[in-house]
Amino acid sequence: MSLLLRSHLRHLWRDRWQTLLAVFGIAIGVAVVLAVDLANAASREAMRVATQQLDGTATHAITGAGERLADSHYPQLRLRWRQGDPRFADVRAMAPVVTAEVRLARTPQGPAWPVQLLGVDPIADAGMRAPVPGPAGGGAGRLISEAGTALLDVVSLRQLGVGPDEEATLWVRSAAGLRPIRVIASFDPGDRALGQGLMITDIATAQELLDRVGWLSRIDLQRERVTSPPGVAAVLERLFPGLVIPPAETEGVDLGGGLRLTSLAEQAADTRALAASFQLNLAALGLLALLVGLFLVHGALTHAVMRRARAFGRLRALGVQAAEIYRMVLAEAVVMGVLGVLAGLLLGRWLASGLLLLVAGTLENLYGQVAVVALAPDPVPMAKAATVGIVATLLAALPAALRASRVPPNGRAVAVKRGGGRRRALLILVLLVTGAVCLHPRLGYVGGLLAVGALLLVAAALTPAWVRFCLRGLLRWLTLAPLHVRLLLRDSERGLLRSGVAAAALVIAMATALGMGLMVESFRSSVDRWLDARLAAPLHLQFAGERRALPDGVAEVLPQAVRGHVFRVSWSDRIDRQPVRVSHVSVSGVVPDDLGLAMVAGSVADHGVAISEPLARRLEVGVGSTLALPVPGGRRELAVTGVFREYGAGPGLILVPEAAGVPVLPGSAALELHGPRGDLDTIIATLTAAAPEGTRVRHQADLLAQARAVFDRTFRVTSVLQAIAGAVAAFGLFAALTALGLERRAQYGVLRTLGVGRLTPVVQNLGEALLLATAAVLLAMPLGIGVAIILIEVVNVRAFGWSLDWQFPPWLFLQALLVSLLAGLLAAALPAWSLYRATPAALMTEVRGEA
Amino acid sequence: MRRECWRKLWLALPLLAVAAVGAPDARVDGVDAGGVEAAGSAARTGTGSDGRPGLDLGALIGGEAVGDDGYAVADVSRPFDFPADHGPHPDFRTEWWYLVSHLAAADGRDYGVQFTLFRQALAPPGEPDPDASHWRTRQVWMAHVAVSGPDGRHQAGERFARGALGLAGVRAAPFAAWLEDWRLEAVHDGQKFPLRLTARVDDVPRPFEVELEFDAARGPILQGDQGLSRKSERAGNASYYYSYTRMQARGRIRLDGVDVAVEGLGWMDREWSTSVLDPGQVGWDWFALHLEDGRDLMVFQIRRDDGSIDGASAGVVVTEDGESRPLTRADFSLEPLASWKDETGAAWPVSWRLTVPSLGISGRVEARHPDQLNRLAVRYWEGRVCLDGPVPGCGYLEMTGYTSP
Repeated sequence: MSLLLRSHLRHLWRDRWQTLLAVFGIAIGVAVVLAVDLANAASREAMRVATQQLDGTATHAITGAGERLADSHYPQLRLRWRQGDPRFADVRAMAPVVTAEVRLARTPQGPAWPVQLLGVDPIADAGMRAPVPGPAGGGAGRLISEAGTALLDVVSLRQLGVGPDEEATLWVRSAAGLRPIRVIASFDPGDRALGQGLMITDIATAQELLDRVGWLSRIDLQRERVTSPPGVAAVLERLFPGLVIPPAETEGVDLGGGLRLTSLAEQAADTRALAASFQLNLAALGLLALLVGLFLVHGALTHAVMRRARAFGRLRALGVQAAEIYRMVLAEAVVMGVLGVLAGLLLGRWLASGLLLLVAGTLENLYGQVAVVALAPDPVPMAKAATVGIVATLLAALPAALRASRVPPNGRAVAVKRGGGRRRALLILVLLVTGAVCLHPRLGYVGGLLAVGALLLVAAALTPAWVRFCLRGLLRWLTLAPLHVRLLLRDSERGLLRSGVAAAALVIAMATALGMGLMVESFRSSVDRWLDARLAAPLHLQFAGERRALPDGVAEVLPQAVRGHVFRVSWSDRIDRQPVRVSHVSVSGVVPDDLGLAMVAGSVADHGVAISEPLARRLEVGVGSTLALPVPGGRRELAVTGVFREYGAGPGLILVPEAAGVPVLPGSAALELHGPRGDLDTIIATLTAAAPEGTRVRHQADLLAQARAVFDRTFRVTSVLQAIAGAVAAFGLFAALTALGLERRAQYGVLRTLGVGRLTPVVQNLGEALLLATAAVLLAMPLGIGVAIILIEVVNVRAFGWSLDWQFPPWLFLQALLVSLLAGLLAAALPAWSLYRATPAALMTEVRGEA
Repeated sequence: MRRECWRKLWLALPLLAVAAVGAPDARVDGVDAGGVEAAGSAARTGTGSDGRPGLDLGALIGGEAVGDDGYAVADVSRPFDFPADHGPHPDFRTEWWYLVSHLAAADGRDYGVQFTLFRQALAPPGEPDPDASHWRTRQVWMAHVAVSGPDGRHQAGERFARGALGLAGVRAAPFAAWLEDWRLEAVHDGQKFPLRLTARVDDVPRPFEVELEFDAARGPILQGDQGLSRKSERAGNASYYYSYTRMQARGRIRLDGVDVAVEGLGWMDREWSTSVLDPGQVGWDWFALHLEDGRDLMVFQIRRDDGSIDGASAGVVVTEDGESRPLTRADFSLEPLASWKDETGAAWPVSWRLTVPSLGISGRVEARHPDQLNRLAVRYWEGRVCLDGPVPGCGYLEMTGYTSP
């Protein structure tokens, strides 16, 4: 074994705790990156599978206004296709679809299980979704000829406690109310089981079940694929969260009569884009954890190099080249990197399963995906996390390796180059410019996140100088302080080369936590105010099924019951490929101004439409512009009179007042009641008696509680990742203080032999930790505000189109301070304890051993 | 092992089952009699062809007496009522409109065209629900269009549709039978003839189009016992059956991008029934010939699993002035002379000796091309043949139930 290698290994062993800490730092960083990627990939896969299960081999779809079309279009379109209409070139199959998300239960009151109801014409559908129904030789004949029959996947059957061979009557809950359905056969969804439950019925049954007789959801087309399979795009999308590569085919084809032919890949890309911004935010938090971990690596290697400065000097004197030493330190980093990555991959897998539930829950809340997801071993995120881990470790080790190689023969210490300050200033300048450039609107929310990254790095680069500034200021101010206090300050300053890195990690973690905290609090209060206004009416009625008008019975009793009401009929559609929800509103009596909406601009007015803020941003329209609203048979140009706040991440909202004269499509119908005359219970009794069966009456309080619960669930995943980054930072501080404690053992040994009490080193150590933590948190506070500014004013606006009201809760700042101090104390506790227990003799021995 | 055989539509039934559940791998070779058998056994046991319970489409689509409850049955002779009987009889389980024609271009090259529209009820008639979906139906339709070219290339296309929203159907007057854009319809209102057939088939290796008019029809000729055609000894195993045995056909065929003007003779069959099965029947050979002396001859024989010919085999001869005379099993003989093997190894007799002593007919019936196999969801042979001998003629031969050994 070569001398170099033996020396190397001996040092690694002696610094095993430091090495272990560094390895752990890498492991946590890699683990978080991997876990986020895996969870993102799994939720994306669930969305893809759910889509594929529904689309089968269909490649395109024909849709109409309100995401529905009269079924009389179907035979005409089929004839056009058969007669060689060029717009249907390469089409191999055409099949009508009626679909909706419903809930299934074993008994009318029993617990419900969500399934996608897919109504198809089994004859036209042959070859399109064929592998799903599975049961060869039967079922379909009865599906067609017997009303109210269905095929159900075995997973859903099991959930509902029905045997696979059993013919069972189940209950379907949908907008149309509660209806029985007879499951005549089951099918095994096979590897498609990742998605949600799937119930297949004949198209006639689906229409009857959903009260949609005469209407189709869409017509699916199977076109020969001209484009190559999206292999490369899929891998790229997995590598870079937030990236959505749209298919080559872009715009849909106008078929006339308000019908459009669009590619399903295109629609899927739109759905992916919705979820992508959320996933990118998660990935950014994952990278943050890695960044904090890298400060650990950097600190550990710097420490190791400094401790071995003498050994490097001797090696150089023995003829070892500077380049060899450089390589040796890098090799050391690689060893740490590999160990860290391996541990990180294992840890990441474990972490991912926990994270997945949170991510899936959030996606479900945000985008309405019923995501029954499972982790799949995916080599792409694994390879990515491993590569990122190793490369980042090497980058973090580079400064230490350079320092080590610059130790002259027989040198005794690592030179701290002069002019480092100037270089650092230059780095800060470059980072600031980069950050500013990233804020350019064209770079979107990704630019915003990069700017946050740049700001955090600036803070990291500033940290040592800032802490030094603080310590020197204190020293100057405390000229008359006792000797050990001054000693503490000077020692802390001297230790900065080591502890500065840890402090920087702490600054990053705290600034992020504070910035995110401010953003979430601002968000929460904005949402609260928005909900209060939006749900101002004390009572809400949701009617079963699809309708176009207020039920007559209800209309009759309303004037006696309340002073005012708002009746909405809402349906889904697309404008410029953006999913929208159109709400046709009719108002009567006394209702709040602007229907209680929080207006960003303009107002709700009779002559035009009001649209939600995210939609206005996505469509790039504002008050004064016009909007082409799809209506049966074509489009209607309408003026935008107002833009209102909306914090749902789903489709954009379009509010169409009755006076705008737009035809009402059948949709879900809801009634808001304002100014009750008499007590609520009597009003509820009156309305319930008058309302059609299946109408749900809900109190304002219930709706508010429900909306807030959804909000809290949505942010749970964010706070978990935040906590992980904070923990890594506390860990870094612990590592740095341990290193400092080790280094100062000799010094304490001398002090102890001079008669200083054993408590003094303990106080020194704890004091230093508290000083560092305080300095860090003082820097983190303005920085956190900066992060929050970018998050609120740039990222949120660009990614989700939400504008928020600023909130500065003092407790958030206090919390940051306390958490930092606690982290500092915890980090210092172990080294302090070890110093407390050591005898002066032992401390002195280590000094000699070191020499 | 095969215990049932159905003529034409009966053969197509498992195909409907297959199409209805949309199993694409059912489009493999050998789903002919095997499929029949599977569906037949399903009819008896109430299980699907894969043995899974509850999947009893086989029972729904016929076989013996099982599941016939509620359907009308062809058991006694009935007066025919035209034009109403040109239209559908939805209370019977199965029905078809069957048109074959052998044609020639000006240069003498010959062609064949087949068009068939099948109707199948999935359930017996019930009470209609006024609130039901427009898609609600118990009728399923299937159409076949095939063209045989002079180069021996035979091509066939098929389509399916449910009997809803006008996707497919038949109207008695003015007559029209269609599945999407494949149409056979009266050219003039109030007149059954001339009929125009238009069909365009894109999803085959060599896309083709046909546009033919049929006129000067001979018929309707009532088959069997005044239109009641027995298919086995058992009462009720029969169909109502009439034919237009000779029509003048004229029009064009577009093949390989080239339009060819053609003319010739056509034959149309109309048949509806509910139950025609008999255990032990494995397949049939059906000949429809236009003789050069002006007579039309149809004979069919039903083969049994023991190699014998079923006693229900029969035929008809129609004279130039439209007089018809039924033929019984004893009136004719059919003897296979040579076979053509398809890619599955099934041997199809494409050369026969036909003898009808009472009519002075005796000669070889030879396929114009050996491969006129309809490789559709169900495989059957349907193609042009010519008879030599003292009274020559040309027409169509249909063979079913030949499988690989």
